[in-house]
Order: sequence, then C-alpha cells, then structure tokens
Amino acid sequence: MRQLITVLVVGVMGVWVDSARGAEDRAGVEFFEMSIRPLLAENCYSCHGEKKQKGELRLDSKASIMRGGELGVVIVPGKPEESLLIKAVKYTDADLQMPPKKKLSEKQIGDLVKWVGMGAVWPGDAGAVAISPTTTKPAGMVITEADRKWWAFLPIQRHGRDAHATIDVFITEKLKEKGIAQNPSASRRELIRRAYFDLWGLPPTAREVEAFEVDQSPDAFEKVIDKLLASPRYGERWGRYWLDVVRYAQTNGYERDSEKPYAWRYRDYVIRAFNEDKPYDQFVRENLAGDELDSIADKNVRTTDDSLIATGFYRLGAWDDEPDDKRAADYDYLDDDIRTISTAFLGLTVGCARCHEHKFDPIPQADYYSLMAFLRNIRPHDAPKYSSDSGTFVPLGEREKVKQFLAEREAKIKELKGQMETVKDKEEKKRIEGEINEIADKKGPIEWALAIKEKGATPAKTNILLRGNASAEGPEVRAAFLSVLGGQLAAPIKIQGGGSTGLRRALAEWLVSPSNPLTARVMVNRIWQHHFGRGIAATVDDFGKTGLPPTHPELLDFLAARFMEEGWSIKKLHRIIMLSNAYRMSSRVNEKAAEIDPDNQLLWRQSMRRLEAEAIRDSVLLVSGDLNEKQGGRGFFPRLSRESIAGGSRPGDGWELSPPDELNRRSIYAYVKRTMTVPMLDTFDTNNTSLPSGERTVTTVAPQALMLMNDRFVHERAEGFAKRIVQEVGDDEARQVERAYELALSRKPTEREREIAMEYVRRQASAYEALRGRLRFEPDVPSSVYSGYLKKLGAGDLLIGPKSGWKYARGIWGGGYEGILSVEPGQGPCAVAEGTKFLDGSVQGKVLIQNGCEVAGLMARAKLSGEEFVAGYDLVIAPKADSVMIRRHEKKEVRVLAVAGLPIEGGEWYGLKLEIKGPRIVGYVDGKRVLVAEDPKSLGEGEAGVRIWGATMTIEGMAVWRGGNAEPIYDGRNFGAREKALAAFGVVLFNLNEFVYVD
Amino acid sequence: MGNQSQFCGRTRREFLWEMGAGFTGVALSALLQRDGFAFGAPAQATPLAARPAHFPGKAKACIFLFMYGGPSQMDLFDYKTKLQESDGKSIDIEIRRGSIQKQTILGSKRKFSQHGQSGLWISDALPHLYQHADKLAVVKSLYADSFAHGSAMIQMNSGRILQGHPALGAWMGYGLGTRNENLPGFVVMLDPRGGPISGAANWSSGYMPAAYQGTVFRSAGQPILNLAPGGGMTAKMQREQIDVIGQLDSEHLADRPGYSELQARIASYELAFRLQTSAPEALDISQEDERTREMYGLNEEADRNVRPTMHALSLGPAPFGRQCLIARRLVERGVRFVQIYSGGGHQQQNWDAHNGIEENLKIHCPEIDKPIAALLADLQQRGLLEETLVVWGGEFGRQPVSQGSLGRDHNPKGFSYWLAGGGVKGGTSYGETDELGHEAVANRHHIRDLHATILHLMGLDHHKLTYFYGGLNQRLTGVIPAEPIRGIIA
Repeated sequence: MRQLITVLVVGVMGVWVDSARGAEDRAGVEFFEMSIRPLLAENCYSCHGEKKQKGELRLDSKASIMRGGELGVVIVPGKPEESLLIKAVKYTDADLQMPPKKKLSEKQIGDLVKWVGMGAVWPGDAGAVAISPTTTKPAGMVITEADRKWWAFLPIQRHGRDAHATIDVFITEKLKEKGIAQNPSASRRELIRRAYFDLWGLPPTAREVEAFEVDQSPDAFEKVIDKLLASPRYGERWGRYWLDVVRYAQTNGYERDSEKPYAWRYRDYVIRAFNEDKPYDQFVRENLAGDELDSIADKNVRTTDDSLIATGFYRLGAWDDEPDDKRAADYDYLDDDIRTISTAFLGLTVGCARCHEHKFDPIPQADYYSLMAFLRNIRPHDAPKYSSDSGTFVPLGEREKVKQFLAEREAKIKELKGQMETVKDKEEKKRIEGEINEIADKKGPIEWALAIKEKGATPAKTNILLRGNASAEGPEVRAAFLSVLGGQLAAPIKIQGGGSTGLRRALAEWLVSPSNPLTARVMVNRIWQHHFGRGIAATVDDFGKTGLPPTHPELLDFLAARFMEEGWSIKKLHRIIMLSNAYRMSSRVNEKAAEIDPDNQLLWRQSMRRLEAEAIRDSVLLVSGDLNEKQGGRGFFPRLSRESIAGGSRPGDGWELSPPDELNRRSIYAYVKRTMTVPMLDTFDTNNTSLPSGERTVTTVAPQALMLMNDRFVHERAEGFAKRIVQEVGDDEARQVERAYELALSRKPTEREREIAMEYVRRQASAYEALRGRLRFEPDVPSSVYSGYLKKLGAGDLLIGPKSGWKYARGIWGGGYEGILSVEPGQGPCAVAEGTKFLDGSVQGKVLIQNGCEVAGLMARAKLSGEEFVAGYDLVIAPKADSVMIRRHEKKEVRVLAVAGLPIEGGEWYGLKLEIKGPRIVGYVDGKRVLVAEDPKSLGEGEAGVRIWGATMTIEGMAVWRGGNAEPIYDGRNFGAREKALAAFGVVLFNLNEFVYVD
Repeated sequence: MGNQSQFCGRTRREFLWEMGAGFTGVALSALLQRDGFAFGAPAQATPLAARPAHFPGKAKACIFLFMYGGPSQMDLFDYKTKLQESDGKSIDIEIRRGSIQKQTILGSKRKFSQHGQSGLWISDALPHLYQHADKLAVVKSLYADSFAHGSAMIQMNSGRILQGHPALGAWMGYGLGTRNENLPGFVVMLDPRGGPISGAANWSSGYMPAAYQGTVFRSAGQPILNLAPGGGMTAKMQREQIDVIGQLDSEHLADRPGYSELQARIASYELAFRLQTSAPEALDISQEDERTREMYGLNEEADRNVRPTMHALSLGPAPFGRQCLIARRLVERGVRFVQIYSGGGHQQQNWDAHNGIEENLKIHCPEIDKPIAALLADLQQRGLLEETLVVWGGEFGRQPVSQGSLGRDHNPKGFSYWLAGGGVKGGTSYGETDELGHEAVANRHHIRDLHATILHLMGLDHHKLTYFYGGLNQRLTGVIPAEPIRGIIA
C-alpha cells in the first residue's frame, strides 16, 4: 500500500534537527523535511533518483539538484521565478511539464516555490542515505523534558504497602475530597454473580449462591475466588480478552480467506497460560521471542513447544496472499505486527509514526523503524508447508526426534529426486514423482504449529521509509528502544543454535524489565477494566496523549508495582482487586453521588455491565444444561443462516458442519473466519478480527432483541432448558417456574414474578395447543451453494422443518460452474412424513406462503431412496407464474400433468388437497376441484409430504386420508404444548435485562 | 485531521468508554422520549440517531450498483476509436503491478453511439440506458491501487486495500444516522449466484460498532435474519413475549434507578417488534403495479425454453430488477445506503471477463440494463431522483489487450464509473484514459476522490467525517489528500 502522503498538519510536529549543521535555519530544514523531501520522493525520484536519471537530472541530493541536468541548472536559490524546476511544475511551458502524468496540486507547487524562495535549504550534503547506522538513530524530532514527564513514561512509583487496604485508600481519598459517599457492599447474591461472570463468564447455580449467602466465615468470598480461578473455565473467559488484543483469527482474510492451520494452538496456548497463571513476563517473552529462549547464560530458560506456539502471535493478522505490490505488502505485514505489539504491550500507537513523526506522542518516525528492525529478520508468511524449510510452520515435540525425522524424509526426497534425473522411462519417472508427493510436505507423524523463524543470525538491514513509501528508502536504522524511554540500541541476546538474531528476545526483555514503565501498567489496567467496566486509564490501548489519563494514577502504579513483585501473577492480581471493598461495592446509583460524579470516574459505585457476546451465548448453554465443555482443538463451526452463507463468493466454502454436540461448546472455541462472521456473536459487539483492540463497544440495537428472541440457537437451548426442568421437578407448574428462575437467574422468583410467569406459561400452552396442527418449512441454505459445503450437509440441513417423524430429500442441484451448485427450484429439497404411505387416498392442508416463495405444496406417493427423491406427484402453487399445477416426478424428470391460473399472494392461505385414485389425480384449491389429470404410467404407492423453495411455508391441518380415515400430521417431536410454553418462558428469561446485565 | 482543534480525540474517547461503562443518566432521558432506536449511552453516542449533515447535501440516500468482477470500460462507456483501429496490434503494457508484457490489442466488438442532448457515448451492450444519457455523469479517469480482486474490492468499499476498515455504507450511517428507525440504514443485496470475493469484509463496520455494518437483505421471505418469530410462535405470541419481557424487566428496572441503558434495552424490543412489520412491507413488491413489474424486467424470468437467446449463465433481468425495485422501495422508506451486487461467485458468473469479454457482456448486460433504466425512470417519476444518488461501477476496469484470445484482464489504472441523481451534473463525460482506454490521463482521480464525491453529495465533508481509532482520527479517504470530483457536481 502506498502510504505516500503530502503535507497534512503542522503544529505539534517535532522539529528535525540535522546533526551536522545545528546552526542551519531550523524552520527551513523543518519545512524541507516535512514538505519538500517527501514531495520530491513521491513525485520525482522514480525518474530522477537513484535508479533513473532522466534528462541526466537527479533530485535526491543537494549536490545533484544544484548541479542540474541536460537543460542546465534547475534551481536558482531564492529566485523561484528563474528556476526551471518551478516552471516545469507550473506547466507554464507546454514542452516542459513535470511530473508528466499529473500536475502537482496548487499547494505542492506553492510549497516548492516557497522552498526555492527560502533559499532551497537542503540539510547536509550527502543526500538521503547519510547517517551511519553505527551511531544511533537518525536525529529526528526532539524529545523534550515535558514529553518524558508524561504520566505513562514516568517510572512506576511504589505507593503504599498493604494490598487490599491500599486499593481502597486510593479510592476513598479522592471520594472524600469531593465529598462523595462510597456505595455499600453489594448483596451476597449480586457479589457472587459478579465474581462468576467476571472470572468465568457464566452464572453460578442457585445452590452456589445460597451456600455463599449463608457462609459466615471471613474468607467466604476468598474461597469463591480461589475456586473460580482454579477452574479451566477461567482461562476460557480471560483468554478471549487477550485474543481481541492480538486480532486472533484462523484465516488470512482477503479473496481466498484461506485457513491458517494450527492458529488454534495459539488460542489454546493463551487459555492454558491464563489457567496455569503463567507469569506475564514469561508470557510476553514467549509471544515475542518464544523461539529465542534457549539461553546461553541461563540454562533454566528454554524454548518449549508452548513458547514456539506463542510466536504464532506474529502470524495471526490478515495476510494478503495475492498482494498488488509485494514489496509494499511485506511492509504492511510488518506494520500489522508493529501495531499489535505496540498496542498490546505498550499501550501506544507507534503505528502512527510509520509515515511521519507521531503527531501527538513523542514517537519519532525513526522509532517506528527501529522497532521494525527487531522484526525485520522474520521470514515472510508463507502458505502451509510442513518441512524444515518452512518459515511459518514449525514442528513440535522432542527436538532431536523431529529433526531426525525431517532430515531422513528430506534425504529420502533428495535421493528420489536424484533417481528421477537418471531414469528415462516416463512411467518410472511418474512413479517416483508420486512417491515424492506422497511424503513431501505432509504433516507426517509430528505435530506442527503456526509460528515464526528468522532468516539467520545476521539482522536484516532496515531503513526508514520516507513517508512510509516502500520504494523511498531513507537512512538506515538499527533495532533500538523508544526514544522517550532512552532510545538505546538493542543488544541482541545470543541464543544457542544461532538461527536467529536474538533481537526479539532483547525486545521482550526490555519490555518486562522492571524499569519499563509501560508493560505492567498496561496489563494491570486491562485486568482492571474487566472488573470495573473501565480501565483506571479508560483508553486501555492508548496511554499516549490522545488517550485519557488515569483517574487514579497512584493506584495504577501501586497495582503495577505489586504485579511485578508478585511475580507477574495475573491470578494474584485478580485476588487483590476482587478482595477490595471497591470491587465489592453495590452498583446501584446514589443520586447525590451521581450529581457530583455522574460518570463514576472516582469509583463511588461498581458498574453494571452488559455481558459480552460470548458470555451471553455461553450462559444460555450452561443454564439449558446443553453446554459441552470440551476444550481445545480447531474449534467448531456455528451453524450459519442462509444469508451468511450466501455472502461468500463460493457460498459455504471454508465453512464446515459441526456435529450437534460440538455446536454447544463455549464461544471461544468457535472457528474465527475473517470473511464470515457469526451473527449471534457479531450482533452483540464482538471484536473486529483484523485490528488489535482491548475494548469492545457496547451497543443496544433491535437486531439483538430479534436474535435473542427468535434465533434457532436460542430456541433449541430453550427446549433443552424446558426438558431439563421437567426432568428435575416434574409437572408442578409452580415448581417449574421456580426452577427456571433458579437456573437462569440463580434465585427464586418473587411472588409477583411467579404469577406473571405462570400466567404466561399457561397462555402460551393454550396458544401452542391451538397451533398443534401447524408446521413450518423454510430453506436453510441459499439457492446457490459451493459443492464442497453442500456435500457436507445432510438433506435435513437443507430445510428448516420438523425433524422427528420426517424424512428429507436433497432435491436436484445443477450447474456446477466454478464448483457452485444451484437448486432447481421446482425440484429442490422436500420432506415426507413417515408412515403415511398410500396408493389411493389424499393429502390435504392449508398453506400459507411468504413473498418470494418459488414453489410450495403437497406431495403424494412420494418415494425416497436414502436422501434422494425418486418419484412422486405433487400439487404446488407457483407464485411467480400465478398458477397451480399437478406434476409428476420420476428421477430427474418432471412433467406438468395439469395446470391452471391462480393469482397467488404471499400472506394468504390456500387450502390444498391432492387426491389420487389409480391413475386419476385431482387437485383441489379451497375445496374446489381445479385440476384433474390421468397418468397412464401411474406411480406406485408412496408417502405424503411437502415441497417448498424460496421462502417460508406454513401448513395448518395437514392430514392424510386413506381407507376412509383422516390422520392428522403433527410435528413429530415428543414435545407437547406445555413444554413448548415452558421453553418460550425460557426464551423470556434469556432476554431479560437481569440475564444479560451483571449488577 | 486538517483541523487541529478538533483533533484532540477526547470526545471520541469519552464516547467509547461511556458506551463501555454504559451509563450517563442525563442525556438519555431525551433519547428515550424519542421512543426510537435506543441505546445505552448518551445521545451523541446513539449509533443510528439522525445527525445533521455537514452542509446541505442534495442526496439523502444512495444506491450503489456494484458490478463485481470489474466491468469493461472500453466496451461500455469509454469509446476509443484508436482501440478499434489497433485491434490485433501488439504493444507493451502493464498487466500486473510492475509487470510489463507484450500483448495483443483487443478492440471492442460493441457499437458505440451518442445519446441525449449531451451526446454521451454508450455502447449497444446497454441499449435501455440510452434514454438516460442526460442523467449520467460518467467519470472515465478513475484509478485504484490493486490489480487483485480481494484487495481491490475492499478498497472500493472501505478506502483501503487492507482489511478491517469500515465500508462506505457504515461511514454514512455513522455520519448521518438513520432516516427510518424501523429499517436498517445500510442494506446489502447479493447476487443469487453468490456473494463477492472477501464476503462480509465488504460491508463490515471495521473498527466502528457493529450497528453500522451492512445488513444482508434476503430478497425473498423475511428480509432480515430472525425477523420471523422463533419456536413456531405467531405474531400474537411474539407480542405477548415482548410484553412479558417488558413487564419483568420493569420490575428489575424499578430496583435500579438511574440506569438508562436498561430502559434503552427495553425500548429496543418495541423497535424489534415494529421491524417485524416494516421490513417485510418494504420487500413486498406485490404492491407494485403490473407496469412497474414489467418495466423492471420482473416478467422476464430466465427460462431457457421461453428465451432461447439468453446465455446459459445469464439470469435475465428479473433477479437484479427485483433488487432494484426493492432498493427504490427502501430509499423511499428512508434507508440511507443500499448496495446491490451484480455478479457473484467467480469468472463469468460476475464481470470478471478473463474467459471472454463478449460472452461476459452477453451474460451480464441484459441482467442489469433494463432494471437500471427502470430504476432511474422510476426514481425520476416519483421525484426521488433529486435526492437519491445512484452510483454504478466495479472494483476496477479491464485491459485493452486480450487475455487468452477473447478475454480481458484486470485493470485498476483507468476505469469508468457513472453517477446519477442527487446533486450530479447529468450528461457529463468527465476525464479521459489514454487512446486505448488503458490508463487515466486527463483529470485523473483516485477512487478516494470518488468516495469524497459520494460523501459530498450526501452532505458530508470527507475531512470532517472522522472516527477515532488507533490513535488517529480515521477517515474513509485516508491520509492522502482527496477532493470531490467537482466536474461532475451540479
């Protein structure tokens, strides 16, 4: 990407100082560096620079620009009107117009005129690549004393000693100053729910709440916290927050959005790290330099499988496998890593200094490239490849064994290749080639990780890119730390084996050194945020000047210092925070306090918080009893609605069908595909998977209500919920409601709530009773589907409809262009009711269709072979043709036996009846006989069923007549109106504010 | 970023954490009085609340007809006599970034003619469009940054070739809010053959809240996911469900005064209920008269038995026509931004004419020609054209040389877009490519200028429309200076 930018804003810019000529006109130099050099680089260097010198003119150094070209001198300092350069850019002479393709903007021309007018100041004489990399960073913006005194850059101060007391001291002090009274403690029930949601993202059971309510021991809450921290559910909750920060996803994005195999190992690693309470300094080391841990100095520090997996950190971002400009794309890739490192660990927006000095923070452009220099030796991202020469996929397991295996395999391949060259016989050549393909680049018996490798022990050269332009290299820089924190050059940490520079290790060590003021503060603040709904510094990813300063800086420092002293233990940090009075406060609003501090900046109360998408979904799963707590692995593919599938250019490609129990796993295990989002999670504000972010927005919009009220996932869980209740407490209505409350809200209902609930359940039960004969069918996939995905689906996955007591057929899918199959709407998926076989008889039902429906109706004498529809008759309405027809299907052939015009409207009921006797087939609409047909090649007996495509069809009173008896056809599930009503109440509970908000 | 005083970012940051902390009691009461889209944050943080434009824009809504795959400029609008004359000659030409190859010039087989008072050139591939020549402003000198679909699509939609940034429709929702709280503000309709490359990334809200992202509208049945009552309920039962949720929620609320976000969430259920009626109504084209249906081509189903002249891969005008008609109904009802994708899947299923330009035109032009002509006429007869901006184009254009023997490869260096309606100077041919139609040479505009133009016509200044993310006031048009294309603005 071309980040070439012409001048934007001047004002807070730092001032470039040329080290060789301190006395030179500063304003002139600044103007040159800000406006002129980039302008020349962007518009002129391609023809008048290092590579080409059209017209023998070169414009990239002072000496050459002053020398001029074929046409002579181009600049007369101080006299723009006499300068050829100015004439050329002004297009005054028809024969000399530069740049030839597009005239510069008025502003740019003005800048050049001004510059020549000012005497054409050009700092130094040596041109663009002047500064020796052995000295230090090139001189750039001046870091002032005030910059260094910005709160985030000051050393962490140790305040206070006693842990829990101290958090509260810092808070009460400020409240006292303002005369605000702090809230009392939350009730026990509220407190334990808060703790459960905070640490697990799941609610406690009613029994756990009760036990806590009666536990009078002084360490009652501590015991709860310890229990929660000891469960694997904890890492599944907190790991997710980190995954947001590192823009975790399992695919590359862009056109192919192909999978990043083994990205999930990183997710599992993070969960494991939280559960094991891996010291955060070690976590940072592993993320940034997990492959560089084999220390020469310290035998206890070693690269492990986990630490290799951790380096997947660098590979999680979006990766364009078909970039427009390879060179620019390589820098974009590095940029993504730089931004993520700076956001995640430093809480700074170093990325803003890619093209110019940071506009607000003391981060010179050179700092950006000095940070890049740490990463520059990482091998580029490559497509999946499982051999020792892959830079992106590395083997796990016992090093020596793995090495040996790969070496043997590679030797074998070499040998085979050698053979191939000597053999003449074509067949034999082919055989050997096959043998090579058989073993080469296969995963083999070893496990692999998505990780990094460097190019070698010698650091790659890194240059500042002028204006961020990949083809305008400026001075060379070396790996160095942020200027505002001293700006020292990094000393690589030598590691055993020497396959890499040891620079990233140095970066990691710098980050976790006790004197680094940012790392601990940033992490402590992230943890605090998830306990209070807001960081002590509210902008958790930005500790710079565009962020908000901490409301309680001393508290932040106290926690940061304490965090490091306690061995960077995150679990200890949770305990310290959660045991404070501040954490345990009620979240109720005190009007008086709200008047003085409406935003609760001073923490006179806790914050009521909306659960995150994952916690909402996981809680629904838990209380319904459906939660599958399987851990780890590639993850599951949530069932996507047809519009989500339709959004792909090969609809469904890259998505899979997980078995039903897998679908009930915790949300953190949902497969993350960059170009296909999961609406259930997306609607409730999950993160943007392409950019790092430590905070999610919380919105309240109508689609969320629709999602929680009507989504299939929610209703399936509600059915589980109802079944569970009936199983647990039997038929007693009052007990059922009580149990529903206990499960969903960890409490008993109030008297009034009980009344409301029972009344509701009763009313719904009778409503469902009245709907007993109503069936709904709807396509569950779009009309065009990628063949690979379609293959994975069962016939029952193609239509939404009653499942038990029904059989489904796939119908006919044609086309196949580019692997995409399209349904033949009139011969699409259909369903038959089991046990309704007849030769002579009829099937009837009242049919309601939605607009956009292509075909809808009833079938008789339908025969299925497995999931394939073999033969049958149908009576269907075709809204697009405004007609009704009797058709005969046999294999792929369909024949219209009779047709009549009939205006079809969506939203209207049509009473259909298909009657067959021997070869004679009669169709009725609303009791009137409208179609009669004879089929000489009459089909044999078969079952009754329905056909539908395009949109939803509702059928009421479907019945089969055979042998003079009417047999109503119901939704075959063993799920009565009472249970349905109870499930409906479950849905109500899942939708309550009390369910999705934590006090 | 141009204005220093606006750039402290403070308001934006506060806004973000207030949404996170979700509480300020004061501003919300006013919001709730509106009984509209309700959010748990102060009024200025209400994602879809209507907001004043930066200046009065002519257009209030925008319909973006996206020709996915990249339509060929030199076969549709960019008439080049020299191209025709040079057919079969060989030249050196940039085919992929930095890759210059010897290629054979492929003249256009289409016949061009001039139309309207303006004498705009239109090829015979789009004959229905002739009548609207004086409404169109064709920009023939656009260029973009990528030769590849993936990044080019994302750039056309979000301004960047990198994934993760908000789409144009999201920017409009953010800048202007909604005109009808009962419908989504940013609607996307997909080709029946499939979505575009990069899928949902094309209508993503990027770093903005999810409320701004495009809603994929089904063109049949219930337009929005989960609009129909779940669990086999009827509308009446859903109503009862919402009532009981509200009842129980108000018990909960009574004990938690001051938390207006709870009230906001209660209100969102009422809005959801209204959506259940208003969204299907917007989609119900059976309300349209026969003349209208005919005009949009809805009666021309792609039945090969009836229309043997139609290409086997062509869907005929009906699907796109239905979507154009729905688009008109949506803007009529206040939807801010509607994007319709013509073409889906790969190769000849969309405008990506590698395998044959003539065949490609034969497939896709009849799909869009009549519907677009109908849309323009319909908007005009209803007096909607003045306040509706219609934009037509793809992610890039195509090469003047042949690929294989009959196809044309990608070309981001010069391609055409046309705009019509609100604030557009109709009957304009603006800018030029070189004599072969390969590269923009006169009045060149990067597509960021196209974005700036679209925003401008909607009353938004692309400098001022910023969203704070990652330490920066982000803009749709990015950091490189952009300007509206004045030559096509009325």
